[in-house]
Amino acid sequence: MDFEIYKKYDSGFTLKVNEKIGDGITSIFGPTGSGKTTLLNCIAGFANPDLGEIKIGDQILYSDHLKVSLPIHKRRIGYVSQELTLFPHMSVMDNIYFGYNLTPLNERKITPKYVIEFLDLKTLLDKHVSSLSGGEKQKVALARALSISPNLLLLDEALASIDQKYSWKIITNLKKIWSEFKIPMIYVSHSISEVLAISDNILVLQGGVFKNSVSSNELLKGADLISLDYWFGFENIKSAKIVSKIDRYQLIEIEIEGVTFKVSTEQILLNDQVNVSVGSDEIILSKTPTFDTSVQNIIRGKIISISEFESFFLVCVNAGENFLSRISLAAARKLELNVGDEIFMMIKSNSIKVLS
Amino acid sequence: MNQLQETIYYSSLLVSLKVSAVATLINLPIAILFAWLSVRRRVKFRILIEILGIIPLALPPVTIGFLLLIILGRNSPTGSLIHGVFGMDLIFTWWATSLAAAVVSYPLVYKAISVGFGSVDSRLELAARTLGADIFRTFFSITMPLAYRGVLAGIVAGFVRALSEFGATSVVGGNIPGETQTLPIAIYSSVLSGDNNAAIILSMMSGILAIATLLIHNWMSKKIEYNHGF
Repeated sequence: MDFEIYKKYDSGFTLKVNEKIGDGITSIFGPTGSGKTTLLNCIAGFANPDLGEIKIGDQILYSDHLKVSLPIHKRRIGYVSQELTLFPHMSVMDNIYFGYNLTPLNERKITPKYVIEFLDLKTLLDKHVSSLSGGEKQKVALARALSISPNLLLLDEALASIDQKYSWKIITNLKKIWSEFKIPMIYVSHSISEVLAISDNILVLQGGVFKNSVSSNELLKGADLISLDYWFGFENIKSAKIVSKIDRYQLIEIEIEGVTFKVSTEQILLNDQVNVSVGSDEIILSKTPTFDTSVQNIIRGKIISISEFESFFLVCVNAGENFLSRISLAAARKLELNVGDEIFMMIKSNSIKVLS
Repeated sequence: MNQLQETIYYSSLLVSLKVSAVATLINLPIAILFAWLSVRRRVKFRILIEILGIIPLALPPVTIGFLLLIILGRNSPTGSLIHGVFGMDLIFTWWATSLAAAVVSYPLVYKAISVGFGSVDSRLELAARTLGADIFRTFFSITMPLAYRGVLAGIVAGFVRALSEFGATSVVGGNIPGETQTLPIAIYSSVLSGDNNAAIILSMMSGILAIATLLIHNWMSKKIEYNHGF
């Protein structure tokens, strides 16, 4: 997808972006008021740019010099926003079939039946929308958007209004959707944890322009590319494989890129593949391994970057995957950390949360 | 109760029902279109729509009747056109009575439907558009079903107002039993002729009709709510 958009508002705010986006999941990250929603509105057709061109493949959605502006209903862009916009006067089934029934026969590549199975919505079909939880509503909204076999899926702060535990399940679903249907996605969020968990290609939008286009690893290494506010409460979200089931100490062993971690959990896990999260504040760094502690995970790694902020340091440690640890200025001074140093991450087994 | 009185009761009831139903049917599509243009499409001539939607409330019904008399009279361009095409005069027919009742009750229909459309979350309409629905399908499958409370309230308010209309209808329709004599006009006639018993019975019929309409409105509201799972 290519877009070149110039849009100026009476307030003086100007969106000026020019980007080519690949077929994977692209995240657009930026603070409130940076122009994320304006950008999505222009792509979906809710608003027209003042100048520019928007294309998906060869299809021109908007072009000021060709005087083309494809109506919203002809764009076939699935749109899922944080506002849960399911039709309240229809059942879940009618919501999902609404767009499918309007999709031309020759363009129906995905059937609602398949999506319902895929997202495990069978039990909800006859329910009225009002009886669903926030997470269920969002899953139905995703199913509804997928059922039009969209050329592009836009997700505008799609997880902002649902509780965190459920939002990670949706992220897992989004990744599954992408690997199954190969629909390009644009995921917009102001949560850096979500953005890093979902996509490899991240566009940082600030003041109406793209400041950076980085991979998730580049952002972890260059944490100072974005404002420190976004790193508070940062969660390292990782895909992991369960290598041993629960033992008598309520511990399981998981593997992330060949590195084994012990995790304390009471959940009965049905899949071998899970998502886990570790808060950046939960990772203690030590220059020497200290085994006579209660900490179950002492993981050897290498410092690959250190980002300095006003009140803390973010240290990116590679141990199979990159992990961010937030440490205080005093701790950083005491440890005298340098890029390339060997370091030990100490993580309590109950600091690693199994998400799905 | 003699045979003649009985006939007047029934005929004025039937004329009232017919006139009110036709007035509501005339108003409904116009009010829906203008309310939608004003609330949803935010058209440039919105102010004109708003003024038209309120002005019949501000004018005395007799004035409205008089204006209609001028507009629809045989000597007017409209009146002579109708006479030329249909070979009839509109004035002093139940059509004219219905039209007068429609004009008087229009603001209530328009306002209730506008409120109904305004209460529909526009994001739902946009969601329908992204799913492939054009403007008209979005209107019929999302906007209208969700604005049902306003539409229903508009129908009831318009119908009840048309039932009670006297000033405009008597000017353009006169007082022809079985043709233009509605319940309020029949009550007026009875009072003028000193037949208080007939006036009381006709007034009670008016009251029962209004209450029945409101009860039907409540029943329909609940039925739609139940069907929609609200």
